[in-house]
Amino acid sequence: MLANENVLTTEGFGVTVTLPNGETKVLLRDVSISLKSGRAIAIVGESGSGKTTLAKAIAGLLPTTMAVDGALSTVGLVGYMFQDAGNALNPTRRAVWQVEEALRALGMPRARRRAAALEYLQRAEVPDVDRYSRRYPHQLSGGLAQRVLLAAVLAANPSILIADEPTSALDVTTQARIATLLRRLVKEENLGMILITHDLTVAAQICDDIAVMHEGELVEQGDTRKILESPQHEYTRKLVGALPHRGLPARMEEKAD
Amino acid sequence: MALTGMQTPVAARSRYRRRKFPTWSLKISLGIVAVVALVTVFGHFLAPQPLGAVAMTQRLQAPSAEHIFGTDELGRDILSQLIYSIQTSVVIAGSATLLSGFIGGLLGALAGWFGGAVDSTVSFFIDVQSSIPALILALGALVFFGGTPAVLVVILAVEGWERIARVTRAEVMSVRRSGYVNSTLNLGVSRFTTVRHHLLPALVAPLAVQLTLAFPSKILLESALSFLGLGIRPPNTSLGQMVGSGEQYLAFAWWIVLVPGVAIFLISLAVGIIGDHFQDRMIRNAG
Repeated sequence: MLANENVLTTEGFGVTVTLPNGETKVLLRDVSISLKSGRAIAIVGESGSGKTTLAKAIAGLLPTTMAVDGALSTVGLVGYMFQDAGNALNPTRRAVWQVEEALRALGMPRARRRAAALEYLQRAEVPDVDRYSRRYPHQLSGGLAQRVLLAAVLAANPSILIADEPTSALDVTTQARIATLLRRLVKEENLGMILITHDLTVAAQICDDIAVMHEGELVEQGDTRKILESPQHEYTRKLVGALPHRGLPARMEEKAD
Repeated sequence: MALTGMQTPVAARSRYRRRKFPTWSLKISLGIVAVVALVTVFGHFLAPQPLGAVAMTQRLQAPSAEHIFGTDELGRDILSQLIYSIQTSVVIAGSATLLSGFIGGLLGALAGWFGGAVDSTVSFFIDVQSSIPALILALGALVFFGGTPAVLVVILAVEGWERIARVTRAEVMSVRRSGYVNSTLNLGVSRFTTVRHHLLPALVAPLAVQLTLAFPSKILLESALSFLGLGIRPPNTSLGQMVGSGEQYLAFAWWIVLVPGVAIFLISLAVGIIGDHFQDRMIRNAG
């Protein structure tokens, strides 16, 4: 995929759920966003604001009790990195098998699969691949499980990568490593990435753009730095005001420069 | 060092207590099942006398060197009768267990995977089946359809399919809703492959446990029905039929009832212990 190609567009997109008592509840209302390859957008907001519902709708993972309206178009496969990586890996299969499964689905011959899976694990920065590729999910740390899941998602050759709170359960050092890795992959593989997070610091480190959600509505979106330096919406101002330090962290490649 | 010295014997003793009972009982049970399997497969070569070989001059003989389990009221060798009975009972109970596993496993899997109306319908039939006493249902069906081996297999299969369906449904629901199945489907893996690679392997252990636990109940029910004269009929024989026909000679020819009775007890117990062992292992692995 070439850089700056449109991979996702939503126009007036909404999601409604029918409750067991027959009532309907609006979870998302009039959401319009777009994403280009090689760019990352953070969807931020508090719990219950509709971030994950939007992400699951884009990935086609909404339950059948939910109905969608408006326009949603994606290009290629949407890979979803679940929040709890340990749970998103089959506990009875070794790490390398989980990556091979995505390659098998693409029709890759058996003879080439193992080597390709190990390459994807390396690309996801799994250290000592020969050793860790043979481990079961319960034998991996949270950060390593995230990397194995990322390798499996990358092996499926997605054009959009959705990372749902990928760093929320990790320690600060591992958080920074995963953030750097995601940023690098977006640029190297020309992926369009949607980062679901409530952590503005992580969003600022990884993402080019930011979309702020509040009670199922998109209240503000645009360039990350502009939004965080001069938020326009009242809710965004509150979010930025709640940051524990003054000033924004540099984006990963800026820090490297 | 002193602390380590105090801890080791306690730890060793608790391991000993936890493992000794299952180990020897499991070995004996596996031995019994192996013997029963051999008898079932090669019974016709092992039996000293052919099925139904009557010798009126040798009626009701106590166990001796010539007839190690004695003879019955028609002078038939009890050992030979026992071998043919084990064949019949094991084949009928085994077929019924597999059929029960197939019905329960299939319906439970459909209910767990699709949910909604399919789940409601299957759950309704599970509840209906649970509320009907198995023996009454079996007696009614045997009176109506007759006691042929095929009818017995179906009747015994209907008994208990709902327990297998319940376990399968719960297991499938848990796997279906797991993060890894969602993740796999999201990666573009087909539903068929997801079922083959993720669901079926997860079902093997719980189904194996359920089938080994179901088998003894089939043996017992088949014996009960044959004892009541509604199951296998002479000249064919089964364990329950042997007990039923020898019941009136119990006071003076106890071996006619005791030998098949002990066989029913040992087979049921052995398979039940193996099932329990599988279940314990599965729980330990899950923990």
